[in-house]
Amino acid sequence: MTEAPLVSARGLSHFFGEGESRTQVLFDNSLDILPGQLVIMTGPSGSGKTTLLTLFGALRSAQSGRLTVLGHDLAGAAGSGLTGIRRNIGFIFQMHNLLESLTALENVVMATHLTGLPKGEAEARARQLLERLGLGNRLHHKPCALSGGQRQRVAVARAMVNRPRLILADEPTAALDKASSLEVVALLHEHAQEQGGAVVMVTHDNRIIDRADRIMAMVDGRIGSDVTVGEIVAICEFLRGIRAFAHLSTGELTSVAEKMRPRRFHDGEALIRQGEVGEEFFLLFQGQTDVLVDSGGISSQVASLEPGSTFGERALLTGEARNATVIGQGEGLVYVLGKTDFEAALEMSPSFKEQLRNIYFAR
Amino acid sequence: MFTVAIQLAFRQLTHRGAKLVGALLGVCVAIVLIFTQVGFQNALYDSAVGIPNALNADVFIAGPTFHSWADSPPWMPRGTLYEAEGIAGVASITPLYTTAMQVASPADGHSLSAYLMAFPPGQPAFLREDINRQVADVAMADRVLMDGESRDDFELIRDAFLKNGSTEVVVLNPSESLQKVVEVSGLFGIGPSFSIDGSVITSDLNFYRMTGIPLDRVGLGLVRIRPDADARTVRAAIQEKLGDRAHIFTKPEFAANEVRYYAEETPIGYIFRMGLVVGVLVGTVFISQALHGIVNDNIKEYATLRAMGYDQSFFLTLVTTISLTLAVCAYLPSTLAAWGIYRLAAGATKLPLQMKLGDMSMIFAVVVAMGMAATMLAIRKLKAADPVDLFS
Repeated sequence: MTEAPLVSARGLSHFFGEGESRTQVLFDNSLDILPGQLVIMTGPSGSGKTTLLTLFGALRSAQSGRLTVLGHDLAGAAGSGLTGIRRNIGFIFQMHNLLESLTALENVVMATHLTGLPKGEAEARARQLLERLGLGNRLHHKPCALSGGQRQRVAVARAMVNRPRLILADEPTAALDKASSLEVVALLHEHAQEQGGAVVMVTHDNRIIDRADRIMAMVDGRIGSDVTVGEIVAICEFLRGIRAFAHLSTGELTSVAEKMRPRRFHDGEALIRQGEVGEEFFLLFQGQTDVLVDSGGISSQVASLEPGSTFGERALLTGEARNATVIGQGEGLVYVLGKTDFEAALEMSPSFKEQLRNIYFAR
Repeated sequence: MFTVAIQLAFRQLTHRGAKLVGALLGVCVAIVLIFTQVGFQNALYDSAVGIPNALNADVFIAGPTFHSWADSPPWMPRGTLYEAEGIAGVASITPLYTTAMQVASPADGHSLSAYLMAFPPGQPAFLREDINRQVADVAMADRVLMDGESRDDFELIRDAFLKNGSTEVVVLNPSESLQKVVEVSGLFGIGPSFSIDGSVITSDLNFYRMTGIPLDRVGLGLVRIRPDADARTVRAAIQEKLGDRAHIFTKPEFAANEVRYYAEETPIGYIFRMGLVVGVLVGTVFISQALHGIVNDNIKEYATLRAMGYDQSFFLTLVTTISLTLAVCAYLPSTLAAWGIYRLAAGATKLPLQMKLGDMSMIFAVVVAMGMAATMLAIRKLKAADPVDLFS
């Protein structure tokens, strides 16, 4: 059974300013963030990623569209409603923002006062986290006596100490060296996996990007791409196994894979029908499908497809109607590439286009 | 949560030691300013009623145009007092003669302003033992008692008296031939006021000799009532009897009239009242500035705490604690400093500048109120602690 998303947005838009100066910064964004995911959000300055992050963090009221965070509907929520939701979220800021008058241990414990955690347990947790982050000998040092990296690790511990199901991080590794960055990301990843939580991280740090489960790129207030890394790798591996794609570069394969959208099918569901105009290209990811051809009013099964198989490309290439019907056998998952993206992929990679044409026009 | 806020407030206060000292100094200056204004104002009022309170009277009869003691009582006919003597409840009435006079400084002969009071030696007009035991002396010709607490200009006369057991002073008169030499035969200790540098007491006959003012011109009538009589009832009866030919006061009313006069009708009373208001405003501004500085230094930390889910009541407790701690911690050294200033000023002016428990309590309450006002102002600043600003 699929777990409920920790963050769910539908048609989320956001505006700054009032009246004539009102400016739209987010445009009709929809996404789900599932438990266990470490999501990295990238994008140029002004693309809306920070606004989106602050909306997820209940730091702003959702203005337009639907936004559910940890089961709370944020549409129209404000004041104490938002404050209550924030107590279940961990925040990590680029500038760490530790309380200068408190020690590292006290800074971490400070986050626990809102949860009613007993003092002894709170200190034990804080101590354990700080030791895990290599700060066992800096527990009683104030931030001014810590390096930038050490401060940021204290901030990471502070965000994690309440074991929140959602951690939002803004450039958390900007002040860290590579080893520390990877350690912090590993800890956050582990937290997401163990707590059934999610970490959403805004970053431009290329050193950690390969550790993400999912990478969302924001462009001009819209989610330009939203890639679940593990699935993309699997899709690329499937595509590479197909003769027509075998000679594509990794970049070309990734580019095609990123444009493919998942679609679940049920037993007996027709994915394409013979005689229809072809609009999509399919990669069978999970489950099985049967291929049926209707000839003279008699329908007969001509093939059965296994995961890794593709179908639907001929009608896109030739402009002809579908020459067969594909029906799901049991539950399954296909990745679908729309006609426009398919054609764009062909244009992007003449060799790919050429190979496909050779295959189909040679038949 | 309350405890956490208080603990954090103390940590934030003590974290920046130099800034804390600076903030405390600022608040101390404001509190000392308030203490000084209150002390001077009290000195004004207390000195204004010093002589009236020392008079042996339950009810005062003043002339119809009387405004205040400080404004020199206008004379009225002595016969007016005789009319009041038969009223029920009146035990006795003593005429008190008053006038401003000039005496020559023993140093260089320059004139010293003094206030001369006189009464019949058989009817002592004062409650003070140091005056009453010397009344017989001033019954003798050209003898006077001088206030030993008079301002510094009179010190030479006092010192000469203390050295020799008596001393002579010249009572100045525009006509040199009318100048009198009188003997200071004793001292008393009432002290000066803002309008009187030094006081002199003598008998009614000496008063006439020294000033030439006829003795049927009385400054005040000092009414003593019978033990079973009520002062307000007697006052009303006298007023009814004398009508608009006199103003009648009970002793507390007379003192209140003096305070009112200084507070409302003299520039110095207005200045001190205004000074007190300015002191409170300056104090509030100083505490606000100190608090503003602390809030400003920690604004990102507050935004972080707000992001974590700390609510407005937490910040209210935090800032109130900082504010009140500043105010209360500044109060004690300020009180000590003000006490020193009172001592210095009292020594220089001979005015009754005293640290009174009531004033200390009142000023403490004002300081706490200033802290609360500063808190209210800081709360507005706190609203600027928006966690959204913490994101790059």
